Amino acid sequence: MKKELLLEIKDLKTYFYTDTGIVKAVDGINLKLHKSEVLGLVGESGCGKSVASLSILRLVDQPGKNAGGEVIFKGEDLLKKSEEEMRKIRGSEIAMIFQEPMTALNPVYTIGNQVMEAILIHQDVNEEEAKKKTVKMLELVGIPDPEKRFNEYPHEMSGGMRQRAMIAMALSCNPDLLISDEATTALDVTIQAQILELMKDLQKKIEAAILFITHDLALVAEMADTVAVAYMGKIVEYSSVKNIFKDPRHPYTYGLLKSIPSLITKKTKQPLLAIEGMIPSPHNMPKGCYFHPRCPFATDICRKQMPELKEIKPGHLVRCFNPIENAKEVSKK
Amino acid sequence: MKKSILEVKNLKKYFPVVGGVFSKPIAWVKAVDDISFNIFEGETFSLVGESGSGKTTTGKTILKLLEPTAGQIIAEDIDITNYSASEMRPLRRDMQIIFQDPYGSLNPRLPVGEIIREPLFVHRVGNKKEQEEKAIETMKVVGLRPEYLRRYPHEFSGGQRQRIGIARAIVLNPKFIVADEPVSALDASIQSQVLNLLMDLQQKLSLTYLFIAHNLAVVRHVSDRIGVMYLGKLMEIANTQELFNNPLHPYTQALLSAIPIPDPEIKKERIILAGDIPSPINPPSGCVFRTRCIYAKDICAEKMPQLVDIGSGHFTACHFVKKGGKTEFTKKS
Repeated sequence: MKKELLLEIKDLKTYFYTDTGIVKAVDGINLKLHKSEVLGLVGESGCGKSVASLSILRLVDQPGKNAGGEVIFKGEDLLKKSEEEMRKIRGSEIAMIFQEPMTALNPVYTIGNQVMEAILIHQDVNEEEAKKKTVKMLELVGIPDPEKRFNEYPHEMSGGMRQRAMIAMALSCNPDLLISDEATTALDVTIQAQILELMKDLQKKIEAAILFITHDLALVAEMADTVAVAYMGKIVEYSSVKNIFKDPRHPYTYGLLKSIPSLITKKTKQPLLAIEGMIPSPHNMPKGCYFHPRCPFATDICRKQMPELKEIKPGHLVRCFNPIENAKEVSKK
Repeated sequence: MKKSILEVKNLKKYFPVVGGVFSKPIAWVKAVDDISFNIFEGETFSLVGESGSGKTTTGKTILKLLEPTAGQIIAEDIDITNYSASEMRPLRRDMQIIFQDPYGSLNPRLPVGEIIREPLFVHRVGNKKEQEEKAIETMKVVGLRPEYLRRYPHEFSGGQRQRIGIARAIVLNPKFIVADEPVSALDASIQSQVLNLLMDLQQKLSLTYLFIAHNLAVVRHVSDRIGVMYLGKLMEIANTQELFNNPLHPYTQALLSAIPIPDPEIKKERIILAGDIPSPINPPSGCVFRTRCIYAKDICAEKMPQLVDIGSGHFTACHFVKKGGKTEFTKKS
């Protein structure tokens, strides 16, 4: 069963032209997202995951600029659209939830006003209907007493409630694609569980696809159908969530999985497997594979040449010359 | 019998909320409200809880960086509760702290060598040459290259800065270190490096840690015993294994169930807590957790349950957890 393709990113590049040189924040990424699929994009800070999401909506600010590639959404390239056309797509067909609900919401307008704004702009309704719809949305995302909350300002709400309001705003126009950029990172774990549950629930209801961006591998395991792992502006591994966690092939993915303490590891108080070193400076990128200075399996070719993202088994793409063959054997060593 | 290195008895720390023309306190934030626990020599005791639960305040009050409102702090048989700053100074050689934010906690105008040497200078340990040698030696211990001695904090990455903070904390050979969210600002691959370092140092220097964190997976990995805090109170204290295998307090149960697990094949039963943490200015009567507890009864609103030993060092503060760990939970109708 093949699902309908919703978004295809082809060789997307976003570079920042700074005084000290060009920073290739997004350096030729390819992604496919089908209808009502959840794609997890994971990576550490500086890997370009947020810039990638902003590039889809063409929200990257100076000195950042698109440097090539295509973003095909429902068969049309968003990068070729006029600013006017983009404005119609943003918030209606593609909506976004940001990390910090306090800074993403406008402090001088009420919550109700801000959710209603999206509805008034994108839908052909009058103010009264928009207000009714807003209250319904606030209720849908689990904000108690929505009619009263409609008139509250962001500072009167808790972090979890603000994030709910953000979700209400994002979903108010039934988007086909929802981009969630670290939507639960600022929240406490019990509140995070509430919000994730809500997102899963609503995703089923409105059948939206989600591009789920996070640094937390555990969240990806919970939410995503497919996973793309990013490192220094490039996708290094791309597969189903099961493959990524059970059969990771890229040494970076493997190291990342092994380095996080989790509730399922048996031994505690033992050294964790750590990835040596740190991410390179974007101004001084290593030659060859960007990961080779930290990679325990690096060989000569890794130092000279950037590997291609290759399909090593159906649906499992890896950018590595020496992919891990069997994760279980490596962990024994 | 293990030796208690630190004993906290009925500790309270209230912060005034001032208002009115004369800036009189009009209310009190009960950041830490009547908590008691022991820390034994050589162990890692962790305090976990969500934001606003009072864990950081506890850490700072224990070190007398904040004046306690009431209660007792006994460090190795000495009651330091009412010690003045000058009386505390000699004791501070043995009690150090590592801060959460590796950016804000280092003086940007001092080179790294000076930052690490400063505690030796303050406590008049050795002459300048000896101090510098000790600083270099300590840099090696925490995995910083001694060539970096003259560099400034901004020239280092987050993980390296945290190493500088750790070097500063251990340079006086303390016995006890409060580690306040030492890895929460770091990326996953760097986090494991720093956790390994902390565990390694504990072995080598026979340190005792009070480890403060919100990430339960991290806490499980490094701790011997754990205390769970909620709204300024301790809800449960137990050995790490015991706490994770047999959580008895409803809050601990919900907290543990909320943690995402990095394995897509494990789908666990979630206890989703409704609502947010109440305000510490006006906490609920009786048990502070009752407003979110699925088992709350009338008695919970009347009486705050005491933290009692229900057997073999497992303490719980719940009306419905009895001796021997028998629970009498029934859901609210």
